[in-house]
Amino acid sequence: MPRVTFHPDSRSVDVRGGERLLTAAWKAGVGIKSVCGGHGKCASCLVEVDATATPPDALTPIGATERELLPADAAQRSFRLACLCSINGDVTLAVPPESQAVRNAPRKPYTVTDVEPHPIVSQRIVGVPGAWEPPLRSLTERIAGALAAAAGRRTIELPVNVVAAYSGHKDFDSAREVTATLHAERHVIALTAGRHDALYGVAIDVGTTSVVVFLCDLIRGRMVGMRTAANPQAIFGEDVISRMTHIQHDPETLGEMRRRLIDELNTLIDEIAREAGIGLAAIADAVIVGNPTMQHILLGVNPEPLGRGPYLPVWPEGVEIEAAELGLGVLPRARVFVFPSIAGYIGGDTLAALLTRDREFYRGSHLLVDVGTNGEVVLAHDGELIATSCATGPVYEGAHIHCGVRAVPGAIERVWVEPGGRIRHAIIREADGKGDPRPVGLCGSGVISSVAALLGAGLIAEDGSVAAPGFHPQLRMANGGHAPEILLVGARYARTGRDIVLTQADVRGVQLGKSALRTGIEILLADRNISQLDRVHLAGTFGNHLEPEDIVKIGLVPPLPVERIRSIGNAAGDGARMALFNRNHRRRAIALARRIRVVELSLRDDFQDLFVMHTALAPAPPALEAA
Amino acid sequence: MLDSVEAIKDFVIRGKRKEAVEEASKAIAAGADAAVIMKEGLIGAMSVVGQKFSSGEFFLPQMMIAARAMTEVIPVIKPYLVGEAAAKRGKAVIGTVQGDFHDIGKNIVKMMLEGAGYEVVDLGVDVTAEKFVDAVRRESPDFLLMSALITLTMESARRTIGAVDAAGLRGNVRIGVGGAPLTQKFADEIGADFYGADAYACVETCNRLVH
Repeated sequence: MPRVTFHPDSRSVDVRGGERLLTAAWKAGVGIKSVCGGHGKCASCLVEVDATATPPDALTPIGATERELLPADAAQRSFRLACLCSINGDVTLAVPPESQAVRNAPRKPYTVTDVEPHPIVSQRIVGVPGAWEPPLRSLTERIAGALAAAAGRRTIELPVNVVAAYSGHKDFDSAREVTATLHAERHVIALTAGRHDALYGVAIDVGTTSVVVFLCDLIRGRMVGMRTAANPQAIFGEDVISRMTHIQHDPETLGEMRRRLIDELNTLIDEIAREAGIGLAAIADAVIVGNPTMQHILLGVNPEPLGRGPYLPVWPEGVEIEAAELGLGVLPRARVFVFPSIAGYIGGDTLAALLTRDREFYRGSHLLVDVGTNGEVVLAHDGELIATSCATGPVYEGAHIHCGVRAVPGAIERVWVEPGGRIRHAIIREADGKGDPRPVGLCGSGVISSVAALLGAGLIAEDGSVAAPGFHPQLRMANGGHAPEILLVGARYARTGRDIVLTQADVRGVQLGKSALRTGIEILLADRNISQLDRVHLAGTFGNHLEPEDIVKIGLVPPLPVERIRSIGNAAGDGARMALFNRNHRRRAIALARRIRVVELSLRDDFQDLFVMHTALAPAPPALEAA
Repeated sequence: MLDSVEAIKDFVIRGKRKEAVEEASKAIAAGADAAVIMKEGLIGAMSVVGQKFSSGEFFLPQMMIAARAMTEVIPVIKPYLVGEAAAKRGKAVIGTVQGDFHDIGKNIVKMMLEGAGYEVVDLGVDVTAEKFVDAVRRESPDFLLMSALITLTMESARRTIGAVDAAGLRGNVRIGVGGAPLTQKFADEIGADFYGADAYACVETCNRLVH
């Protein structure tokens, strides 16, 4: 069996001959970018074969598609595309930084929100009568009776699995005092001998790219700890569509994605709990939000219909499911609340983000925008809520961009042009401020920042065309002399040893993404017959890193004073914590899900003209007609 | 006459609808050959626009306004096309595949085909395999053209080709596919006759195959 060794992870895997290199990486648990889902379209899965340790025939020869996609200097440096070559013998290779799918943590994962604690779980300490006290009753009946009496209820639900777990403890039969953990005051989900007052919960935000877990003290209403990690499903593709495509080709993958996600969540929960010295059994509640695809996969429901018209969820409702059934490593009988999914791309994360908005949001005209691989937009006007989703594409995450990288240390996050014409940049630094100061590529905010800066300096025109060489020393022809590109950082100043450029195709990608979002916003405004916005609320980690001036300059949002744009952080995670601390917010989320009207863009007659028009990089684009 | 055709071509490339139509009317009134306007002016303009789009110099708005300008010139010159020039170059049935509502690319291909002298039957968006099969049976087109813009809906193209084959209609029609996530490789794999990397490439291939 051929063996494949991946560096810098130094992981190896034995595979059958003929296996695709990308598949081998998945099997080895090595994350390689595959923006297009491994279809030989995007060249993001570029790897460098170690020619000294790999026989020349260990990989299938470079075919026509691969040759076309490989960078010009690929031949000298033994680059290959992992999705387009198959394994015949032992291979040793390196995954360069720009191809690594290892995702960073959100750079600003949460904001502090004040919530009145009103958890759905509670604890009750009751005195339990002894076994000989008449009338003679079973232990279960005595506990249930004491609980019902203390709660002033006629009955209390005490299921056998809770009693079974309790009966496993030493001295369970002789305890005079029992602490019961209840869900919604009537379902006993845990029994412990003695007096206890520890009640914790986890709020979980499952993003396509990363997952965040917050451990919270439900009695004191405060966060105990948080952890974040890459969504382990990334090996099945960067975006939801690639993951759906995997499921479409092999339905078994759904279970695999679900398992990997749950495993990762459990690891995170375990780590935070251990650090805080909290037992997993004390975590009696959980709330999970995600985009509809993530929520479907989490529940084991096939998300595939979400990806194609008419984009309807299979399972739309908010649901409580036992942790044991879900596989979540908290108190087994905890009832995990998973948020509703309203439409193909509008789900729990959007609802959770809305929960963080106060009454002010519902007065006047407010816009909530969450930009990631997909853009979700909610407009509140005169108390009405309408929403839509926009296929912004992956450019906002630095994908599909020639020199695009995730927001990792070394990624260029800001670009500006000095009055003398010099193009400058700033990168994301390591947390300790040290590390290699050389850039690796452009992350999403770096892409937007450079387009805005170069637009202002005249290197890019409003119609998106890159100026001809001669206008600026850093302009040159590329793509076989067909299209101009802008050299941002020369090869010898870059960590990759290759030029970092912004190509004409990159700018076109930004235009498509920009227009998708702006067209969505314009259609919502037109639906409510308004043209002015009181405020734009930018959710998502991406929104945190965009300059409001840039957003307005390239026309991502309708023209408005920059001070009306407010970044609201990881609002989905904040909303999930609110719903964990206070049960009323779950009811609010369900009510919001019913109240929001979804506008499907692609079914509208004016979509095409608006979309084409708004590809212009300007606050107010010129009308489409040239005549 | 040639100056006038050059002017029409230039107006179309720049998307100047009014000017292009006026210039064409003037040329026709002055006795210009409609076939030359069609071939040198319109089809010539579309080939320039197509090349500029492929290189990245032109983008959707320029492509769209140029294609619109062209479609407005066609009715002006059409009554004056005679003989071979008046005959349709071929017939195409076009639509986006089932589950796909993205039709900007399809609409551009349609306009360019019309400009190139084809009769185009547009089935719109979200077209099922059955609807494509019915249209092929009813229209007996030279081409069946499908576009898909999401990876997930690419499979619908495969289903449609299967349905056309199963209906025994494949002998008379050539199937072309296109759309952002598609590749030549995928087109080969699902048994399409050709792949259009962009609108212009699609029209070019039709021109080559129709003879």
